[in-house]
Amino acid sequence: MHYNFFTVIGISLLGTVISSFLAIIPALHVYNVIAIILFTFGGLSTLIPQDLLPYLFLGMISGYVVLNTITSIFLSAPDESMIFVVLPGQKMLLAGRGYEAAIITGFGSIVAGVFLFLITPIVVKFLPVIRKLLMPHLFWILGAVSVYMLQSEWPKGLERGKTGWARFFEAWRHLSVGLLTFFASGLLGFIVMTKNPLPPTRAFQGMLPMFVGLFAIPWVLTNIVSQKSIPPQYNPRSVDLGFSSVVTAMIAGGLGGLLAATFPILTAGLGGLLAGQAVASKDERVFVISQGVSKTVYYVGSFLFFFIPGAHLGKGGLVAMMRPFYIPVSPRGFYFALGALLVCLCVAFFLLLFYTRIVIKLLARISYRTISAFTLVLLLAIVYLMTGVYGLFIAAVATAIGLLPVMYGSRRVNCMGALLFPVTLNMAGYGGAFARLIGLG
Amino acid sequence: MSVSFFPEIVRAAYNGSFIFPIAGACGLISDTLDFKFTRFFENPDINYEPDVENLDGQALAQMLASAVDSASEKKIGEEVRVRLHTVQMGPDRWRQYSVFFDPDKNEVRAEFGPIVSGFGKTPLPDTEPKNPSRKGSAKPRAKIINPNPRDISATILSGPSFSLKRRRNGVEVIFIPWHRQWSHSFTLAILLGLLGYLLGGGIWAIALGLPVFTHVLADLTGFLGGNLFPPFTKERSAGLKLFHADTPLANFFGVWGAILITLFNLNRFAPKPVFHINFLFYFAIFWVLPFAIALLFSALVEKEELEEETEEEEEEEESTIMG
Repeated sequence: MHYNFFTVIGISLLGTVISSFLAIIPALHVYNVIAIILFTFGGLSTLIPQDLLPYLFLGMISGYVVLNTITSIFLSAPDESMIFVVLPGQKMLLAGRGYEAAIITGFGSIVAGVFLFLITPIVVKFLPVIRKLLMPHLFWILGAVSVYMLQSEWPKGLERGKTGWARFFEAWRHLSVGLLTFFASGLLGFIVMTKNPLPPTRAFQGMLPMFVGLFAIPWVLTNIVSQKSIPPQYNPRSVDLGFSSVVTAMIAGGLGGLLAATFPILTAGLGGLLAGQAVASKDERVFVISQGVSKTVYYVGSFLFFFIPGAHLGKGGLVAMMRPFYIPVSPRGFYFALGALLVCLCVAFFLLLFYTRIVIKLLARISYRTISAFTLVLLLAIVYLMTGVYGLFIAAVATAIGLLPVMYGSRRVNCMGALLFPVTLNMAGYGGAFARLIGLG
Repeated sequence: MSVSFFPEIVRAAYNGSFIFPIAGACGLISDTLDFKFTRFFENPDINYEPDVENLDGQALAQMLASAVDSASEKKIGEEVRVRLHTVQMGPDRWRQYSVFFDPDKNEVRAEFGPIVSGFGKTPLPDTEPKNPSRKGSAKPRAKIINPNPRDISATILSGPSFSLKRRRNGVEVIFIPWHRQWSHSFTLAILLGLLGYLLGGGIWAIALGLPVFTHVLADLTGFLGGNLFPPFTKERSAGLKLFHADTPLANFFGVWGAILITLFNLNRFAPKPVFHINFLFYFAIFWVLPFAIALLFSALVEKEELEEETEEEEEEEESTIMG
């Protein structure tokens, strides 16, 4: 690594600016774009030296993780009747506080940068040890996460039924749909992982159609069917956050994100669910900030740890893609990455302030239904271009499953069964037996 | 956490058994039974539905005082169960109201409050009812016994229930009486342990029974306690009242402590341990020290917030005087 810090910063910022455009396209994941850059354009080798590529991607992830707040809050607005199955950020949007929700989520990303900076010495020393200790136990840890996820979904009914059984069935309507969602998405995930129908040239995008179908398309469809418009958005001059709220969010989101950044299959949402339970805060603004912290620590942290030489940390699709291209050799590269990350997160935050105002103005002029229809077309086009007709088929099946929690008011995180179920089975060594049982063996 | 103290269980997990997640499921089964089954089959004697057009706290207080008196006319141990239903004003808008059984003044107070929103129950500005009868109080003839004198609030989703139980020296208020009964008992822990033993022998007895036992013990640190040995005991025993269920610091350090102990045990019983450290030193560094820092921080923040509140109140008073 013979480049100076300013070159690294420059390349990283370039990544942030590139991803700032990509992040506001719904469902276009930064990993998919990076995969295309790496495998289709040969890693831009004629334009950027190979050992600077990781910094470009670090900048892209930093920009993505801050700016995808816009799509997650403004372009997946739920109908009011679903208020108890949506996240507080979207509730704030419905209350005209979308700008505030976006800003405090983005602020959570800055907090995550500070968290990553603070915990780096601990991570370098202890994380490899913990990982080594827990790797043989990972299958049951994932199993325990699934059990907890399913068991901790509580009834949301009003309990006005005349008889006990009426109240019981009212509550269990959405609880049983939660279970069904988990196992149906698990079965789909198992099939996709065991017998991926995509052609080998597109196999690296295997999960894309499934996740677009499970998470993105159901919301867009719901918006088209039910959502007429979003309420006028209030544009506050300042946002008041207490220091203790920020610290609580940093701990809850940071630990959740760290869990997800360290162990396979766990995602920011799941990490946040576990850590949120541990902190047990009922303050919705703490929750919104902690979501920003959690997703940033998850996305950026899992890639940042990859820069620690000799530790073999880091996880996720990007780390897997980068391994053939880059081997971290000196601590200097890691410190550069840490510095670049903090700068990129701050720049991305200011871009978020700017973009959010533009999106709010845009939403006041263009019908929400039109935007949702455009988003749906875009999603289908992305799935088709990246994975072909087979991808569309997988997305259709996944959409049918993803619509279940949306329609019946259960937790959408149950769709994570698509990863948890097959990976837990495979890690425990029961994958082959299960494949034979369902006729795939 | 508790089952990780047994080397056979850690080794079973190491060799591909799902014994830990099953033990974890048993650890949660007490609350699962209560919140997903038992609660729906409660049949209250009084189902209170507020009149949205006339939010009358005085009438509610009088009705509850009469309920206390009705309970006092029953035999010892019999009860009047009351359910307070919530008032939904919109998809995520709820009219909050609360009742308080004051054992010192021997009176029931009721008050309709603002409209709230979300799981955080955030009050919406300027939504307090203005009618004078929005709050009221009434004195029952019978003596009120209330071991946990707190507001009982109906806010979002389904409302709370409570029992007014005749005692020898008055009427006791028992919050959510369907909770922490047989499902939170050592009896259930023993029964599950026996089931585990029949199904898989000693380690399965521990895996199924011990997590319930630990759950019951952990709950005893709170306010509601638990009915520990049904059918020999009929009622909940009092908790130690150390923490409320929603205390962030207690929750976090409880979970964190459980994780640390589990990690230590997994390492201790691993075929090749990856670290060697004295347990007391390990626990002091990773639990006691952060806990002490968090306590200090929490105390400082509370002090600061209290000072800010006092300053704001003083400013308000000054401006009222000036005005």
